[in-house]
Amino acid sequence: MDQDKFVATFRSHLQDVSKYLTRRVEISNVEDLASEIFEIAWRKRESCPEGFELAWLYKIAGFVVSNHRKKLSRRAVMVPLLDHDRSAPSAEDVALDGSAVAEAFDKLSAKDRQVLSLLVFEQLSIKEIAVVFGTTENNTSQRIKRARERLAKHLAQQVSDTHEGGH
Amino acid sequence: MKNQFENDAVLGQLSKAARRPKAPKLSEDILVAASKDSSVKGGKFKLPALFLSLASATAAIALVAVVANPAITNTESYSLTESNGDLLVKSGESRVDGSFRSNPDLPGQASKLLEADFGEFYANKDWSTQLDLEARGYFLVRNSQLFEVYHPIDTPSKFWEITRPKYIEEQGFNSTGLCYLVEYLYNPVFLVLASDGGLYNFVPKNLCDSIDGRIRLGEYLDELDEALNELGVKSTPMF
Repeated sequence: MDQDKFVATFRSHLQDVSKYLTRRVEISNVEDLASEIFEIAWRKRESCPEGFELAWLYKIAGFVVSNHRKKLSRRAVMVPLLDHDRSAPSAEDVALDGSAVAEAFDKLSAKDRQVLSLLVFEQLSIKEIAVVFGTTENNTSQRIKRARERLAKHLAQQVSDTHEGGH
Repeated sequence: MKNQFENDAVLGQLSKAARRPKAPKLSEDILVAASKDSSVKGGKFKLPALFLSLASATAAIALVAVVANPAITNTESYSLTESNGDLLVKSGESRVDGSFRSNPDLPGQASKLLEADFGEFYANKDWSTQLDLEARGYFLVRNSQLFEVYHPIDTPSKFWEITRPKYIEEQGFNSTGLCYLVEYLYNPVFLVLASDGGLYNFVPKNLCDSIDGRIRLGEYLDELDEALNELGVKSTPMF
């Protein structure tokens, strides 16, 4: 893939990457991190699966956001070694309103938040999410299903708590 | 969301609750600039020929110079030890043309990894360099997120590789990363390709123990990351 093709291929994904980053990092960092993502994409362009360019970019973006957050935290202690988990957005990141949904979303594990974010906010298909996580479609579907069930459970709990509080 | 979850009420609720992000408009210049970067191509590495010492005396690395063919021609080697809470200290040096320093504490580490079902190892037939003559074996671990999280590692592509490491997955990690674990003279080391094009050789004192314990490995990797930062090397996550 030469430069012209690279630019042509990824031009349409610029704003998707920008949105992905905006949901996860400070806006002031979006451009720098986007540059980093595309620099990596350029170097790794030969491994980009045809037809899954955006998912592939999100995969890179997940690593970049993880590293970025780690640098911010500067913690010398171990944190969970789940790269994509560390790039998962919080309810605040995705600007969820202050409803029960936001609280329920924040109660999810980072892993659940990440997979649901890719599905609901980034609007990826199951197949594309599988590319991001480097797993199978079936595995991805199961992961989404479980995350969805936990979200539903937390939501139900929120509603229940609200009702109890009201009485 | 065109899938079986398309009309899901719960996910629909989540979607409705989210506000659209006001994402900054990115210029196409980003793509043009990114595609001018040529620090890593074709599995060949730039030569970080100078020895870099760390500002912090507690941190040490081994810098591996790699020639374009690529063959390691020179190295300053340091091992990872724990001393007064510091995980990285200078412990010695050697030159690869006289072979890597053999560490008696580390024989057969690759075998231990295999025993732990760390993954499938593949021989690299193309790595016919001076290093081949010096080393008794190389092992590379692919998709080892355990390491990849904190290491700027690229894909020399001519190394050995491992896929879907069962061990890693059993530990609850996702196998989405990529890194290289190379064993020289049964002495496992990390080859870390940084975004400056340099190939840095980090020698963990007891890699297998670290693999078995997240905390220790994490501390080591954090130290390593900080060491890279101090060198001014920008961490680049790879996969």
